[in-house]
Amino acid sequence: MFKLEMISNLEKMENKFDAIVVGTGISGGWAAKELTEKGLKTLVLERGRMINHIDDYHTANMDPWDFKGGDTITQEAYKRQPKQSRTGYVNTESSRHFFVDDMEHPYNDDENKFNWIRGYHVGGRSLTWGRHTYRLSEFDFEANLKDGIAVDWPIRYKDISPWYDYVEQYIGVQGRPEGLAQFPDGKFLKPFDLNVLENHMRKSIANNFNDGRILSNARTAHITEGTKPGLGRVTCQYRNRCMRGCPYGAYFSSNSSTLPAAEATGNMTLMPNSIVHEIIYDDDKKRATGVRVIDAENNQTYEYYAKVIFLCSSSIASTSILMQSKSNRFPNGMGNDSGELGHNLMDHHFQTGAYGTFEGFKNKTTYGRKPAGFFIPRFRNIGGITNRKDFIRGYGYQGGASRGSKSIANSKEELAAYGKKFKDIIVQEGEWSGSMGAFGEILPYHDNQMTLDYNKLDKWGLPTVTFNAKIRENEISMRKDMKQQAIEMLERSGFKNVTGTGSDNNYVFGNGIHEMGTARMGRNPKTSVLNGNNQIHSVKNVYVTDGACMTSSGNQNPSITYMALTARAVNHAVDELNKQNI
Amino acid sequence: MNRRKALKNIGISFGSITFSTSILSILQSCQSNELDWSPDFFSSKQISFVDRMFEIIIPETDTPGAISLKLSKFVDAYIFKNTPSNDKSELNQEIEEFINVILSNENQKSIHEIDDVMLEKYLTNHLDSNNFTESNNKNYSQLCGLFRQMAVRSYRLTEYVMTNKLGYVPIPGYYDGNVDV
Repeated sequence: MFKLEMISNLEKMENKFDAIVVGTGISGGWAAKELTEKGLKTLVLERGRMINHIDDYHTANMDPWDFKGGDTITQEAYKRQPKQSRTGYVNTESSRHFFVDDMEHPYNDDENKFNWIRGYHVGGRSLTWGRHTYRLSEFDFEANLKDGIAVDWPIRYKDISPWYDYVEQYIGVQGRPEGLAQFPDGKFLKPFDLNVLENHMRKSIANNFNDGRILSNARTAHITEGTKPGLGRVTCQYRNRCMRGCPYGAYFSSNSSTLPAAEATGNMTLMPNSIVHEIIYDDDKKRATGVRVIDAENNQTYEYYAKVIFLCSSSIASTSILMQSKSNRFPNGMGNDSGELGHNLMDHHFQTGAYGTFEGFKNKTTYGRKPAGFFIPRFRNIGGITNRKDFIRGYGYQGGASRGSKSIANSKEELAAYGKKFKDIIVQEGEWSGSMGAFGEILPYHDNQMTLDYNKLDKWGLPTVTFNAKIRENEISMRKDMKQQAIEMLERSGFKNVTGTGSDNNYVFGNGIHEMGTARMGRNPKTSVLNGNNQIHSVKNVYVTDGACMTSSGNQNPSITYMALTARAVNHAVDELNKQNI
Repeated sequence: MNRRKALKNIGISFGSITFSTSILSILQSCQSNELDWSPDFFSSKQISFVDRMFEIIIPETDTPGAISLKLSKFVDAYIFKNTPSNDKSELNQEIEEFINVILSNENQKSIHEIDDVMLEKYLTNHLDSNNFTESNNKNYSQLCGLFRQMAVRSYRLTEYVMTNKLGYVPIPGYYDGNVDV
């Protein structure tokens, strides 16, 4: 089995490279691939352990009955991972090894609870992500300027569109083109089918609303036809065990796709267990020269040098590194002339929507377990009658319909309460049901922020992150609409017992696992950290291309945007290196 | 109030699991007092009781029932690793209490001396009924409801039922959203 090679003999290793990439997740993997394919000797540093595609997916082939006492979040998991457990799902036994031990990796959220959900290993959250991929639209890039909020994005849709094309075609994205401006179509493989009830909902929603809203297929990074480059990436087998790692490489992860591409060039040096904690700055040269690293296993420290550095360690981690990179020139952290570093922290608020039951299609069922259902793209605040007075920006729904076993809730009246007849009834098909939950945009508020606490150090002597962020008026108004519209759409599609879910006011920041911002892009170095090429304004050979760079959050699942921005930024960086501008 | 809440918590927890049970033997069809496995939560006496209650709820027919499918083994493992200690303790006491009430009423020393017909009568009296009380003025509908829920959930998650009754296929290979039942 082809494996990614690790460096084992550190003393003999070179410490000078053309490029350094920090992080191996969604954006780090892409930086590694693009830099090495353009011929740069690239050191790729990952703070967590090695995970080899397939070999290290220990639970991928376990059937439900192979988990003794069920695939659950155990009491032991609650103890070691109290914060990861708050999601209610990420650290069940089948996937808990891909999420951090909170005792080992603490952070502070005393004032406003924050769920910082992540895993530290090669591949990062590209192994465990939800795989939904939606492009930002022109509405999103123009939004701050039009609303007079925060700062203007320094790019527009046309700047990133060819890069969305580029990454989508490489990784494989299934989806259905719809021709909507707020939901830009991508380079799609054929979509997962909607089932009978989902198709019925698509028709009902098209017919019963006059604002142009539609129900479409979810767009996800799964291969539905042919193959894609990597370690043998083939079509989805509809097992719906994605989060455990896929032996078919059917969804995109760094481990199956971009890292093997980087490895194949011969230009990559991959080092797991390497915690980058500082970027080294040379004030004479006015550029970064390298990084300082702590070995996660033995606490030894190293320095590595390169002409260009890509920070791709995830929003919070990248900003932490910048904050920790203090010098005479940058007393408040590298690139922080504006004072915005750490501020404008965003996420997507979700966990509100509706569910209901459906009495029809009694003679229909489904086969296979597709890993995605439907998506209802944004239909608010996109002009004309869609514009609201009670909130700005918008939201989209993820949802699905399915059929389960008969409920035993009314067994005494409808069925036998126990015994032979009961035994037959409990395996019969039950009613169809459907549900949807919306993901909504969170505005960039200066006061939503992260800071570092130098009084609470982790086991490597590094400061821990303190979060202070909450949703505010715009989000709360939006949530009321998110729930109400879900109820309306289900009711007008003929669902019964329709119940709204979730709270209007209460949302724990970070639970969307889309934390972003804190080193935003902008046109003006006085009010932003990065320019339109993802370079730090004042340190042009450092690029930040993970979620930290986001100037507004849109409502779209952001990973495909990070991939596109990364590929675009590497292209710029190599160009600049060739011109000797950096 | 602690007791009711503990049992309710366990019920909710059981209601939310979707997959899985422990490795089972579908060959075993005889009811034996000898356990070939070691429970982590239930005592051996409680396992016999729980086994028989589950078997009344999901009996052996032309297909395996609760004892053949070792549903109590799954439930034991589930409670052991997922239930907080306070709730475990409350559940343990409730079961002991119910067993003791039955033994006291029937003037017997061991559950083995109570036949299935008699045991079924106790289940029927309390299941889905808040009104029936024992000589200790207690109603055990919550416990009996929990037994039924545990039995049903674990039944639906056995390899036998999933593959033979619920159409589960480990590697489907494709998706069809429009299948005639």
